[in-house]
Amino acid sequence: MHYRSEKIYQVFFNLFMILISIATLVPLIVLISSSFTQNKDITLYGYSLWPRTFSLEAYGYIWKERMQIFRAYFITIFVTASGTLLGVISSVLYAYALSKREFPLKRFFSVYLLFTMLFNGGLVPTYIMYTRYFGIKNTIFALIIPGLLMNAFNVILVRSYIQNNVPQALIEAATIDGANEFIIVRKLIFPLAKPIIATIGLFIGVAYWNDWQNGLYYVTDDKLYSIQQILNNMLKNIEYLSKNTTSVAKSTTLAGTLPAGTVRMAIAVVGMLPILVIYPFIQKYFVKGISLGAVKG
Amino acid sequence: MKKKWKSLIAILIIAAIALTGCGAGGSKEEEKKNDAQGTASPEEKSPLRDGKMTELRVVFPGNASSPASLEAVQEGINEILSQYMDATVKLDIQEWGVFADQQSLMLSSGEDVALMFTYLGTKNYAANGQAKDITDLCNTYAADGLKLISQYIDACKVNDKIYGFPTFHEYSSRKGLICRTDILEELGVDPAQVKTWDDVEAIFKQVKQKHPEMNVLCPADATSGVFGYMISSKYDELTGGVVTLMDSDGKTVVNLYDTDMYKDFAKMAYEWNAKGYVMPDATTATETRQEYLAAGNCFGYIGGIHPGTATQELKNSGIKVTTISIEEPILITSAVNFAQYMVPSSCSTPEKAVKLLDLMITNKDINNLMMYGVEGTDYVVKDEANNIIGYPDGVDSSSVGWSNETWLVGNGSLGYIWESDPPTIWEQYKELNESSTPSPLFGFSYDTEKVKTEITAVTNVISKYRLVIQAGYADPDKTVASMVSELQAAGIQKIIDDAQAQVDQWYSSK
Amino acid sequence: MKKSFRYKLKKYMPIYIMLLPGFLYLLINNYIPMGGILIAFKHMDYSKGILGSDWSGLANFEYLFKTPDAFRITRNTILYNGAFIISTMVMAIIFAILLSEIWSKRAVKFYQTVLLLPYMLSMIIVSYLAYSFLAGDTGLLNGVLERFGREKVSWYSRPEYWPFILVIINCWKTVGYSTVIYLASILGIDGELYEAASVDGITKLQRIRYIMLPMIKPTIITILLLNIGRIFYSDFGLFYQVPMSSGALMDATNTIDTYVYRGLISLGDVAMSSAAGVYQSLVGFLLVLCANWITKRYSSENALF
Repeated sequence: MHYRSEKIYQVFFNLFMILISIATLVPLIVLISSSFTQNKDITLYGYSLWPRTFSLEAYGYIWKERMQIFRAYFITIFVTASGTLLGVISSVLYAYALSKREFPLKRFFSVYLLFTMLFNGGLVPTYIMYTRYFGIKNTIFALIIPGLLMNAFNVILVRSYIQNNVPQALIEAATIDGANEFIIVRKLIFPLAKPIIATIGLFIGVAYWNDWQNGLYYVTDDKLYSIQQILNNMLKNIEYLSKNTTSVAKSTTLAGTLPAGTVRMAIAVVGMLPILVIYPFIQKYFVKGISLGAVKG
Repeated sequence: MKKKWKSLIAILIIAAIALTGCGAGGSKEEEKKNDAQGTASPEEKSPLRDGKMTELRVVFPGNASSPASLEAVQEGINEILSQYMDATVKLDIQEWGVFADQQSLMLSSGEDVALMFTYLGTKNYAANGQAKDITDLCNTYAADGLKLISQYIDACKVNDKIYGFPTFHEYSSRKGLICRTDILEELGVDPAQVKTWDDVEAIFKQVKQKHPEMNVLCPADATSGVFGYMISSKYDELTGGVVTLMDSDGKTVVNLYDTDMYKDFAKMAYEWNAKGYVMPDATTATETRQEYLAAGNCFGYIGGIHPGTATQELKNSGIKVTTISIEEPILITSAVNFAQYMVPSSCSTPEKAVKLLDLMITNKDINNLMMYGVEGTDYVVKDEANNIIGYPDGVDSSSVGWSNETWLVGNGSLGYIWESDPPTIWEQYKELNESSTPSPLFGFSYDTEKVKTEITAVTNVISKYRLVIQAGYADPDKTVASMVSELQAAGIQKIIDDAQAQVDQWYSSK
Repeated sequence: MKKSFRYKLKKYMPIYIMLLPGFLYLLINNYIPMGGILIAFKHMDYSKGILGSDWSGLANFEYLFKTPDAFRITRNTILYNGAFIISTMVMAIIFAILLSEIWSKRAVKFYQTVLLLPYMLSMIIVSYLAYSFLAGDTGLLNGVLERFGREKVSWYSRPEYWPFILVIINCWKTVGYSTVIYLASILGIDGELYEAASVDGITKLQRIRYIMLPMIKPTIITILLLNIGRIFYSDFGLFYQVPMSSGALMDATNTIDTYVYRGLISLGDVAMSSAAGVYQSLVGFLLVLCANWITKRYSSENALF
């Protein structure tokens, strides 16, 4: 047919998307290249797309501080793994229960879940409860428990998936064969709802990996810092230096201990490295999951 | 439909139970505890020796939250405390950047903190009940400390009640030029001969001639503008833009930006900028002055000078600088109460907390521990006679197990002197504090409660113009005039009137 | 009667056990802190505690709405979210259509991967990225301006630019996510429809206009409604961290969420901060209900409840 004109379209479309892709990647390139630049260059000439003088001095600094960085890595990985595991299990269990056609108090439990999407108590009461009654400040639980573990949205996603994609007959047949509910969840629901479970697992996992708020509120002990918290604290220190001039006039040692601009960028690179490395592999599930959850937003 | 409502009601009931549960825990339990303690010992034991080892939490900012020597320092302090009371100490250090967040969370959630550092004064905390009135406790448990700081305590009073003790620090600074020693020597300038801003300008001219490639001045910080410090000793600022001029009788409150003094200053800044004394893009500068100095293409900056400034700059930027003071120091409330320790109202043992505060002001060993860490591991005495100390062999600033600012401990002047500081640094501090001219309004602190909205609006206008004018980038007549008219529109007059009323009342109650 | 209760209990026990972890978690994490709503109706005095403080009725709300802040933060929250919704939607639909037209599956996968990448990054990292572009003297953007002989701009103290900056950053971060959704929806369109149309010899543009857009309309509307339901909430990290909580930018970047936090941290005004939080919850609640109600009318399977 008009094969030639179609080919021109293809070239044009691809060209356009390549431009968009480059535009999307430029900020990351600046970040990465500045981490490989001499610090002096940034002060004198500013950030650039390409290192003016290639230098590993920022990574040298990180290597010197590797104990702290490694520990933060370990904490982040541990928190992400355990938080995701707990989150997925409690969400799937709740969702499966709600997917049952009828049981006493079903409505209560589903309104109970939805109501949490609408109201929250605010930071101070949450903080009081977690620190005073659960004593979680400066413990590893502070990074796992508050806020992120389970949310109504994920439960609803799983529930609708089970309702729509797991045949009720299958569950009934299993019940007749004598399987109890827990066996059904383990043997039936987990394999059959795998796509959606992988999806909420990814959602929860990314949320844990990127979380900095729990650290800001509940962790002040630098032995428990996650990567994001190290980054956030540096950012807040810069902010502090630029704002509180009276105290800065006195406390100038902070300016002295603050890692240089390139080092901050290098730590940011180190912080997103795992995402950059793992991302292409999980990308498939992520896209699938988003498409699955699409109807729900 | 009906069922739905039933469930909703059930949820609301749960929420209501949660409500009372949470609220009840907040305060009542503790009150009960306190009552129990009060009645349990009928024979009037001293509250300091009640037989319970209370852990006194002291919260203050620092560079790292758990330095290597933390435990050892705490143990050292505990040993001293045991001579005075049944208590141990827990130093709870917050990183600078998150200190404000953590402080607010701790205070508003009512954590049991014995002493809380604050760099915002105690006025707001006193007003909403977060800080305890310790006037009476001070007389009983901190009489010595109170005597020691009697000259300055007025700055820390709110409605004539004491809410905190100021730490010992320089309550003022001499404004002047801080610049590279090597270039001064090259130009053959004798710093002792530089007395006025005109003399300073003469140096700039020479620098410009000999080193045209070099930036003469960088900003001292991000908010003052390159020349801001030249006039900051000429007024006592109550809140943004609302000041009392130092050379007035101190009874009238005026708009700083509408004074002749400021207009003249703006003109001068403009001229000096036109002569090329300001680094390019000074108003958008985001790096610290230390980084500009370290980068090597900057001659110096105009800022505050106090004892030890030169060594501090050397430490931070690696550049040897000379300080040339021009302005005389002034003593204003906000510079004294800027660093205080207060007792939060949620503290369960205020008597012990105040005693600890007293010791922090009067005890030499506690101050040494808090400033320098543990003797032998973090520092060694180098000159017994003159109290000079320094790093032990093999230890430097990056590997030392403890570091702290001298103005964050109670009374650094009791302690040792670091070898890189001048050996008479504490005398110099005292001399600076005592020679500062008190502002007529010293002891007055302005309550901004009623004009919060106007203050936000005024602050926005100021941040729009201040840097530009004070770095000399704008045509002075036109810009100052439009700034003043925008300030009027933002409601600065309402703040001035409100402040004036409070000042009048303060004078009449004195 | 009794027997049936016991029977029921035994039968449904596993279900309740499954609900238990989630029930407890939501109780602790969500319900108990709701007690904090009380603070909004109190005149907080810490020496008396939360319950002991005097009731203030609606005084905190009155105070909040008397300040120009109430209007400003509401306006900012709604306008920003509006701009976010529209900009992301338009761009995502364009990208999705383009991607669906590209033959090479490999290329499509690559573009999709790249577009989605920013979604995975934390707001802290985004703040660092923004800083490298916007820093006053060293930022890349000012470097470019200078090269073209323009004057540098002090981005972190010029509120007028921030609406654009934030919309761009938000677009950059979220457009990939929406693109994936729309692409899935386009790929779900029955191929026969296209074939039937191509027999009629329609052009590419006509095909987009008359087949694709109508077919993905349900997705568009669902997402639109969901977003409108959330229009009273904003991404705290985007509005607080990315502008480095700069005071000069307050007017342009303060949303309800940042106001609530600032009220607590920098003003120490818990009561007012809580009042703003309650205001947000109430209006947000109504909006979610409305959006859900409309969704239900429109397509019931997409309603949340």
